Amino acid sequence: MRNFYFIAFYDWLMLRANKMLLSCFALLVLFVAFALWTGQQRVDFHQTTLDKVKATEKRLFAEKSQLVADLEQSGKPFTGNSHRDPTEPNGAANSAANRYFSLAPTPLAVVAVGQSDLRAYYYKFGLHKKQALYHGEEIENAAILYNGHFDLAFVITFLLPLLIIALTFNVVASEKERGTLPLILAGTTSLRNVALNKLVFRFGLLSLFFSGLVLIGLALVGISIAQEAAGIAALLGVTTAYAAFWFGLSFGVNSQGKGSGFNAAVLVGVWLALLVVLPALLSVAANAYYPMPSRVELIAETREASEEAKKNGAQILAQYFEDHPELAAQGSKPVDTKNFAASSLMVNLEVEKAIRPLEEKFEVQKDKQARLVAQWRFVSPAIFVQQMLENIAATGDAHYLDFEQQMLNAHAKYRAFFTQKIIKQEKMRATDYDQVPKSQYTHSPGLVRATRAGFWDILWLLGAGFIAIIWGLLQVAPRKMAEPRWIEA
Amino acid sequence: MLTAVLHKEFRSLLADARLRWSAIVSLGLFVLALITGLSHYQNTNRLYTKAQEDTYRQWLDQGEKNPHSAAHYGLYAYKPVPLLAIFDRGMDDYLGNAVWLEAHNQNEVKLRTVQDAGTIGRFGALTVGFIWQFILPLIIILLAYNNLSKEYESGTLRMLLSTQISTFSLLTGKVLGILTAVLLCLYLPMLLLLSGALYWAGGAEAFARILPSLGLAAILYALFYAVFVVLSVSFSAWLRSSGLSLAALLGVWAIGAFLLPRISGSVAMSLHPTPSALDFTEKVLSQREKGLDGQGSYEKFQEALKAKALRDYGVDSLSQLPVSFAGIALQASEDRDWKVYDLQYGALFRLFQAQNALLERFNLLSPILAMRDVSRSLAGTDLYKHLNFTRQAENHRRLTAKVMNTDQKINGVVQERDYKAGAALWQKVPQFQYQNQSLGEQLQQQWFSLLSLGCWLLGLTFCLYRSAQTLHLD
Repeated sequence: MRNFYFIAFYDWLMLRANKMLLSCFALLVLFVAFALWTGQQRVDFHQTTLDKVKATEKRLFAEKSQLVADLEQSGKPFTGNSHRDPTEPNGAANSAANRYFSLAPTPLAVVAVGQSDLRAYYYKFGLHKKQALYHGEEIENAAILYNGHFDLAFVITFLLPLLIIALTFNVVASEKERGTLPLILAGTTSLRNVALNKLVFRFGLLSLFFSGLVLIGLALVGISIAQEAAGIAALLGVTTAYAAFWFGLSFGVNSQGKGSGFNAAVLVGVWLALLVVLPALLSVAANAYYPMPSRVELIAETREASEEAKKNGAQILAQYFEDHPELAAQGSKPVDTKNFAASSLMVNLEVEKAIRPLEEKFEVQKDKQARLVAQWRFVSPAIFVQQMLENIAATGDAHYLDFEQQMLNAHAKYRAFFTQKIIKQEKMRATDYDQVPKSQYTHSPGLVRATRAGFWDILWLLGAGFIAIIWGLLQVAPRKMAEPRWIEA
Repeated sequence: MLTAVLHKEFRSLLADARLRWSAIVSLGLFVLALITGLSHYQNTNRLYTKAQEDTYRQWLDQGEKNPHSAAHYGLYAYKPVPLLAIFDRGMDDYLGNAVWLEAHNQNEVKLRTVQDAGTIGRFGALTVGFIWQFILPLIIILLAYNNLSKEYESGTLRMLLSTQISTFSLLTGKVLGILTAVLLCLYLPMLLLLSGALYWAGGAEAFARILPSLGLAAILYALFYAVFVVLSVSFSAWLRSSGLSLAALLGVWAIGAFLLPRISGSVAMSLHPTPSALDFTEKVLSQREKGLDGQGSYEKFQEALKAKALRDYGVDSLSQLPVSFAGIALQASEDRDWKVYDLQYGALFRLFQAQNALLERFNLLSPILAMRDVSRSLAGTDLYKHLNFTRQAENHRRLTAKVMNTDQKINGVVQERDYKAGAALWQKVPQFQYQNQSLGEQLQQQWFSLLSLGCWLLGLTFCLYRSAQTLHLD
């Protein structure tokens, strides 16, 4: 233990004097600041849009229900476009009583942009086909999407390992190259222990520095550390385990006793393989084994189904009344099978039913791809570290899937409300506007389980790092490290 | 003497284990990327060609209906997959591929395939372009980082400087030797395999058509690799230590390949923020309803139109018109909407162009990004091509609307909205055929990136010259 303090103290002095190493820490400050700024920009944009969405919904409901109340009082009919008549349920659903189902960004969303730039974060409910729900994409410049975002998840997954490599690639080799190695070997501690202690010190220093930086950064961005303690603890835990993995790996490579050039080349090679090549290969494998059906085919099939259904509109409506006799019995009003609103609603439902098999193919393949990636994620820590960070930020695949699921349930309730009214040929009264189903997204407990799956991922990181250290410790005797050697290629 | 140095560098690199290993790894990845690219091209191309035919067949088989209903049914335009997408898939996964051409609404091009991929899709695709733009420069760095520094460290520089060769010729010889080895052992085999694959996938005619683009890309890539060889040798001569040289070169590569693209995105978004879809849609709808230039609401516009029609044809009531008023009104409302779309979409596309101009400025700081943009443009998988497709699709939509409304105007005079047309009218709308941009147009769009590459090559050659001046024993 005394040895460690001794070595750590002198390493600290050396680090302070070494400009290149100091600049690593300075770079880290810049990176974290820029990353949190980028994350904050995106979260602000989403929050502003969602606030507008809420305001739009409130205003529209207020305006239209007031208009209907006025028309009811005056007894006059609506004189505008019949498709937008707020006194009719289909007109109301198309242009007056649109509910929005939104996914508000969580406080920790600044950490990882994740899928939030590609996936919808709000859906507008109306009476069109279910597929139309997915047409409301956010406007994004594809070039910026392609480049990716400079968020904290990027800094942790990609840049932190590079900084660790820069901090450690010559921890032993520099002693040799500067000629101070014989001095160390003349001491009582083995070179192996010196190297290990140095790395442990640098690991501790970097982890503490980075954790402090993230805490300060998050506080500056307006996040309550106390409230988000669990998420922040998970974030720092993942980062520390990931850093431990890279430090362990570096120790293993340094223990080979080769020059700093060799160490840097090997470590960067491993970085490239783990962070760039292997994820790309996994993506290729996922697409090769479970290719996604074509969405272009889905469009063509939907249009065929639409045409078919429109031709049989009246029949479909008649069939619906057969299946729902409680709606056919109206008492005073006769059932109108030529009811345009009802028949177009039925046509939409029929089309949805017709293309359901193809949609299911998509869902099945997507699920199979996700399972393959989940099973094989251990080929590269970048994959599961990125996923874990996205889960902490609530911007990962799992969250959006859950959001979509809840949205579809809410949409079904919304549609059922209007379907009843259309089939029964009821009018929309001003009081009905308050009855339109309203739903809110709630984070499912199942997602907490998804975050817990991170247990195996953390274990992988610590285990792999540990194995690398053991491998390093088992390397050939330190004496060999002191032999003069021409610098290797 | 220069040729002797070239020869020596070439031979020693050939014998180097690094070249062997990097050749094995890069060729292995290349073959995998080529197979993936081929299979992706064949599937997607077949699907899109079939989809384009299907949508036109659906359009022709609509049966008898009112022309305006047909315009509402509309048809789809699909962006074709170019043959060179096998070589560089560019941004196609992030750009939409299909747009619905319907009456009244200018829709956006949808179906970003990357949406189906999840987190793993954001790590990047293994394509030939990726290997040529990111991996090969890294291999060059790993092969050449210690070219001069090893001479320092092992003492052989003394011998070299004692010969009659000028230091600049020495460095040039080294650069050319390394470049020859890289081009012959890594680049050329890949280029030949790629050409074979393109010929096989597209056939002789298509191959002949893309040959100029492919040839130009091949030359530009060779110059791109020259940039990296000169960069590596310069750093090696300047920094004198192999470890430091490697660390610095890897830093340059990491910044150019990973940091700058993401930083540029954040800067572009903050300086030119895109409107939200909500704001954009609201603006378009409100302008369509209220009208531009004091046209007034749609109802007022209709009234003015009626009055004008009665005046133009010298009649007292709509039933006396020799043409269908529905036809006149529909086309007039389209014209009115098109002005709004041109204004709003025009502003949006100008915003995208401002963002992209800013992104392009960053290419000056990274030859990798400059080469990436040029490569995508030549392959036909970049944003300019996409905007070109969007414009052509919109023109086709407007043509369709005009044909339908003109027919309604002329032939629907008696029955107005009850007028039905058939296949004879649908056939008047031609099949949508995307016209490719010319090579000249593509090069014009990429002038800044090409200039950046040129600056890098010239600048680094000058650095090499300066390194040669300061090359001496300590």
